[in-house]
Amino acid sequence: MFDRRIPRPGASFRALAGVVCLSVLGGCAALSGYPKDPQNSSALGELRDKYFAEGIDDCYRAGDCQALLNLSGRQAIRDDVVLNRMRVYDMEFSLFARDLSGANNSVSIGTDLTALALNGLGASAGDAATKAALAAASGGVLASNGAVNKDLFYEKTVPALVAQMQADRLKAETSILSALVKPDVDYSLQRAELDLDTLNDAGSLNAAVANITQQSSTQQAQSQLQMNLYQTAVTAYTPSASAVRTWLKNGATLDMGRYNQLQAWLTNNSDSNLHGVTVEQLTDVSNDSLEAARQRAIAEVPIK
Amino acid sequence: MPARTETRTGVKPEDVDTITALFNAQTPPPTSVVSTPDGNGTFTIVATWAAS
Repeated sequence: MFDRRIPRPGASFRALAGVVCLSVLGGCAALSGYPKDPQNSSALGELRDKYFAEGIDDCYRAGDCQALLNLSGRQAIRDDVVLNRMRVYDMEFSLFARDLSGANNSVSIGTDLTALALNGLGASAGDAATKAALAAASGGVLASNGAVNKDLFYEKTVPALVAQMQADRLKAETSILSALVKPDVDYSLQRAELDLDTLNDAGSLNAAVANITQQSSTQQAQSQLQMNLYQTAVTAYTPSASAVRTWLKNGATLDMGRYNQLQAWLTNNSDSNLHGVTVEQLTDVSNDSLEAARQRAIAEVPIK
Repeated sequence: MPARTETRTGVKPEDVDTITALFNAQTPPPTSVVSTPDGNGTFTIVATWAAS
């Protein structure tokens, strides 16, 4: 399986590991991080030939696909075609992800990765898995000489990209499955094909990189907007603001132990919007979202 | 980072010291925190951070 692939820098150790793996275990599934696929290797080709056949659209319109699919009725044909094309895309994506994650992958993503702004990696939005993987990816940049360790960067970034592609695909699949409950007249095969194209594109590196970059830019803009909102503000005197301020004073001007306790609550908060908020802003800024945060702090710190 | 300021208006006199202390407790601390009466019995506090 290795001779058809182009080795990347730093792959020699993994190649050696692969030889050991082959000799000891008789297989190298662990190298890609995926279990061996139990499905017959010809299944993908057979499904693709059957459900992407040229006559499908015509027989669907006629409501009779007995010859091609052994089915009649537009809705039954639509459902069968859409679900099986989704299966083909799933199988293709699985192979793609395995190839990406393999020890000596043949997919070149170097130019795609340059589109990812390194500074934005850790701050990127997206689900927790994506963020964690991207934060780990930033560790691929070695500070000693300011150079990027491309091999390490690649290894750490691929799981993040795969996670983003899976999230994008799940969103597209959910949209299709929700639409399939509609009658054929409201969700035709041609309309479903547009959504299937979206599903196919969602499994691409370009889409994943674009989404991650977009999320990072959006979050950066939101953070800047939030900073601007807090720069000039009327001082809050709601019951919760007064309660937090009185607790912080603790009978004097400021109790630093309580200050640090509240700052830790902000920094480690499950709501990432609070991570950059200072104790002063939480306590003093008159703002709806901070008012809600103050009420949460009173309950959770707790502030009595 | 560019220079920046944060301003709180309508601060009651009894809270001026605490809000000043809350600004000064930040990392990095502001280069100055100035409170001025606004004529309505309350104060305006301006914290300034120099460019770094």
